[in-house]
Amino acid sequence: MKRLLLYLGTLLTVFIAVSFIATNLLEYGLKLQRKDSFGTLNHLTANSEAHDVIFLGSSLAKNNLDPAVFDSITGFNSYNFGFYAAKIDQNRMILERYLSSSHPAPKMVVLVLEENAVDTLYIKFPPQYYPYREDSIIYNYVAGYDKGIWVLHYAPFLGITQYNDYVKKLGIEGLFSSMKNVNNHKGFDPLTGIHKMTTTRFSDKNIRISEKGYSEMERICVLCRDQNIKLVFLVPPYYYTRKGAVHSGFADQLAALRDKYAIIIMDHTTWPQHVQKSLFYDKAHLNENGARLYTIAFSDSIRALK
Amino acid sequence: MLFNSISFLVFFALVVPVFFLLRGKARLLFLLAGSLFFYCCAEPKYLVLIGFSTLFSYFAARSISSVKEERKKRRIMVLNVCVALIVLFFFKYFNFFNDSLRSVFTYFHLHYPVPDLFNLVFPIGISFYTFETISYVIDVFTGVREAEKDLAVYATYIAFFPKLLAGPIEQSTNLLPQLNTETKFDQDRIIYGLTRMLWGFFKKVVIADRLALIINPVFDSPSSYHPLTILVGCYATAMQVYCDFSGYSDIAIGASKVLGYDIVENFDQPFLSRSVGEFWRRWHMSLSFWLRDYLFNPIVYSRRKWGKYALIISTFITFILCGLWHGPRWSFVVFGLLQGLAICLELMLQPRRKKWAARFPPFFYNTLSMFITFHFTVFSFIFFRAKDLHSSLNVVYGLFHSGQPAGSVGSELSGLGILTIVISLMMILYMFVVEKRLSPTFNKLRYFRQSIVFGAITLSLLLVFGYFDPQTFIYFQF
Repeated sequence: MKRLLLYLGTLLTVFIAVSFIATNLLEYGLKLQRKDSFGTLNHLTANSEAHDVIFLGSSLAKNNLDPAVFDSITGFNSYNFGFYAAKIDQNRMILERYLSSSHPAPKMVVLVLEENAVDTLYIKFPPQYYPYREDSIIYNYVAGYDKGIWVLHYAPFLGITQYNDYVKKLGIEGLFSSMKNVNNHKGFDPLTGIHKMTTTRFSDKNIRISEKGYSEMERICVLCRDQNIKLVFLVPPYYYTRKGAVHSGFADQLAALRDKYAIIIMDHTTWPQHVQKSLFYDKAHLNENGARLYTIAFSDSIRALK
Repeated sequence: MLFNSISFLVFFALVVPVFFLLRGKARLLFLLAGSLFFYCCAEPKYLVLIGFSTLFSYFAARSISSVKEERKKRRIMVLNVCVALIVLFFFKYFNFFNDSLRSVFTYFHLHYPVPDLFNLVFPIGISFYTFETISYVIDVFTGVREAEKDLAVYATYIAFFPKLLAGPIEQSTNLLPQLNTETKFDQDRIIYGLTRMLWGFFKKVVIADRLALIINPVFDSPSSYHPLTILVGCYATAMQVYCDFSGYSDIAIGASKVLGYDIVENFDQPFLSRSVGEFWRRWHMSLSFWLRDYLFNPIVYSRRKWGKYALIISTFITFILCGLWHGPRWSFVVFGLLQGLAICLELMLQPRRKKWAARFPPFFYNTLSMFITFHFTVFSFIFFRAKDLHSSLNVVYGLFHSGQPAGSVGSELSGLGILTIVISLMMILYMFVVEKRLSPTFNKLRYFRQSIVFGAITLSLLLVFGYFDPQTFIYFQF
């Protein structure tokens, strides 16, 4: 029995020690990372820079709005807090976390909206939040969907088993290469080329905001109202295959929020250049050139508000 | 319940101590209940099916041993084999043959009235336990062993959880007698078993699942890749299938060892084979030996008057059925045909090969033989791995016709893909270096020290390089 216990004890010790060291090294590297969603989350949690404008939303924010172009036209200092496949509750969480941190409150929040972000709510890739599990706002948001973060809260050394190769690569990169000169484009992620352009039409189903989605939107409105922040709901352009503007049910609900909280709604679904294939990466996302042109147009709309 | 899941580790950690705390019949019944629970977690509705197969073969064997007339014995044996094969055919092959016949009828513009049977969910493990029930009844009929009297022992033999879902296919002479005796708590056995399980997890999580990241896109869309990238994908496929299935077998053998039972080995470094015939004596040995004992040998014996032709015919029949055993797909039939063809060629060239062996230095001849066998295996695995015959032909076509401009090799692979290949190569090298060291023949103290060092290194590599997104085992589909 002695040998068996020694064997099990050794393997358990190795398991905990290797996992603990690897997890901590990896997460340390991820917290130094300036690229990808980790770069944005690090800017959110460990930075106190003042921004006049912040952009929230999904990939439609992350790929379509270039803060550098926006800043050069408006004179503001902006940052893009868009996340891939982000839903409305994630946008709310990011805003809440931003306002509770050492960042001074912005003058304006631009929430890039799409119907998909407000109907069914879920997290696409919870492990991106695991390194920030000590942060109560992030933890509470993720724990609502994912048990993994709960496990890591109590057994943090298991982190190494939760991250995929891409995250590990980012962590190692953060650890071993200098991140000082990495241009993170203020959260903007430009897409190059024309990739998966299809001629499939968008659904004409009259999508409405789900009850939970609506309540999350109201929370965003309240947060902005309480801090005297101007809130803009922006519906971005789509390649011309989409029929008309936003669906009527969705538009009615947005109008109700506008009337209640004095929000500005900008529907750019049919931006004049939305028929130009060369400006799109796919039917919903602009490529680098498209994003630059669209950000100029969007900046002009914001400047007009001044 | 996948072997490479947290739920299995919890299940196993609970089963082992309780198993050793119990004694006699209670221990056996607990093992049976645990095995059935394990099966229920995978496929609860087909518990009835495994129950039927077990009871039918149990009573068939009992009847064979109770009747004295040879003719009646034979009838019962044939009835049991037929029923087992009909059940297997119904659940695994009916829709496949029906679809194939419909295609032929449609091709000739003829009406084909037979509909598919409904969307049958394939019962996991059916191919494995069906073969075990068949071999058991045949063994009783031929007098190799007595019919098992205790139904609980027999049911545990069929449902024994380490080998239930994907083998190894046990023959009744090995595991069944062990279940009749009570195993003792042996810490060295347990250490060996746990180390073997760890090795299996390593092969599956670090090598097979990581290689799948390279292979899947290449096999899904070969026309988007450069021939050299497809070639890398083909080599990776051979390694993936080996590490996936031998990893599963290692976990199964290790888990059995922990419980005190020895189940048969399934692999013996098959990629070092010097002929296709030798390959099949080292690859999925439990299936090869089953097919040899219950299909190949009886055919050769019954057609012995045909001489060499009996060998050739029974080789083809055996390997076509071997291919088809893997699944209801024409690509598996081609896989089997290729193996049969290669072995027949080896048979016919045997005298010449002896001359060549004498003419060249042994090292050169053996290395060349290994090289040729390995590359034949890699080629035939295209048909094994692709989702259908059309896809496998696309991969073969892609090997010789560039869908990408010249010089773009590797450009389809991201930096992450290259990193995956490098890590996989390092891990494969590690696997080959240590594979032989798992032998249980080492003296106990030395083996204990080696187990600790080897276990610690393997566990560390598993944690650092593992791909922890539980993927099902390839052989579960068979």
